[in-house]
Amino acid sequence: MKCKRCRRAEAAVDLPSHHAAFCPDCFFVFFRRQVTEGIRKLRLLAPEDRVLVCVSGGKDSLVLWDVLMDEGYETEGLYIDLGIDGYSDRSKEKVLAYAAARGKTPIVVELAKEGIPIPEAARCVRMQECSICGTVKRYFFNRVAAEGKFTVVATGHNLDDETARLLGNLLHWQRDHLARQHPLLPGAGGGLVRKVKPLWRVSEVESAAYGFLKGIDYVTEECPMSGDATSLVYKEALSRIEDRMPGTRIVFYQGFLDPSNPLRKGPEAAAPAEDAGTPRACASCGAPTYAETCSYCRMRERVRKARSLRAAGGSR
Amino acid sequence: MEYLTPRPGETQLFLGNTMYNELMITVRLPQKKKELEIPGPRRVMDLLAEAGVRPTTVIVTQGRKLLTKDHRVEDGATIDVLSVVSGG
Repeated sequence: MKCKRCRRAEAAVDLPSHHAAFCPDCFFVFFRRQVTEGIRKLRLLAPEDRVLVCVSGGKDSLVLWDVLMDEGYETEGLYIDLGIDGYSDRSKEKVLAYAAARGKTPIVVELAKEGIPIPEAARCVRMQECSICGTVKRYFFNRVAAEGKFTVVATGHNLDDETARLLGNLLHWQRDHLARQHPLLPGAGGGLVRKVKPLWRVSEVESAAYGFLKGIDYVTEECPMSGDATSLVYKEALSRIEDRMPGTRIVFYQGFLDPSNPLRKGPEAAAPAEDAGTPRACASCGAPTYAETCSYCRMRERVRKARSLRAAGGSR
Repeated sequence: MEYLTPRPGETQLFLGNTMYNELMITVRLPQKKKELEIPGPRRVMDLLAEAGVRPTTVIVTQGRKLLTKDHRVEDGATIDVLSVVSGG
């Protein structure tokens, strides 16, 4: 198969959803255009932004950092060490190696030192591991960004992630979640930093192909705690549909983002009651929150209590 | 007729009344810690079907090369099927 762009070189990546196949050089052009178009269409980033890129060591976040640096954005990487035996060490190694190769030193937050490593938190708090991890990560993304005077936080969520989330929200008619689901979450007063997902137009296959062809050494193993993640069920359903009807994912998501979509335009969507107004400072840590104390502090408190109960039980 | 035990990466075929060992395609699925031997030549998409892997969930590599789904893989080759699905 020949490259559909240059029509000379042998294709290395075939993309049925785009009716296209590309050689490595043309694929780089295509991929970067997909990302920059995604940024431009939704005005995710401005040239003067200071971008905090959240990197996990996986393909998407490292690819995102790579593209943003190549596009000339001022970026720094943030790695959160989740404290998962073995897996976190290997992920961190990949991040540090990639960053060093690009002359960068990422900011590292170690959850073990913060007193809330994910495996222990999951044992203490009766919540899904991925849900705990999401809450903790969002907290540190914002805290590090606000303290470091970053104007925006960028994460490597791709088209597959976003459509899986959309399908889950639709199946459960999570209207408030649907109203807020977007590649751009605007910042708010009180230190809530803008969050963006510049890879929203890019599929997981495209992101992996870009990482492989660029020689980015990313961690290929899956997080050992994500086996029961519901997002994987939605991803599988969507990938079955995509196999039979290439291009369905992007149509699904772009249709959802269309401003004429009533799910995104209804009065409840415009101003969900719990999000109304400006966030205030968490009574415990000072982070922006719409409640008395932020969800991170509430969770940390539950972990602390469970830990002391265990200690008391163990000493009897 | 001579019977030979195939070595890893080989299959037994008959040519006339002679049985001989033939090289096969080695399909490695590192994330599943699995390795398959499939007789070639075959297209990547056929190898994926044989391995029970959906094409939209993986990239397929041969050394430093990325393979398209219609790429023809010859006997004796080793390919890696890398899952791209991330959870959480």
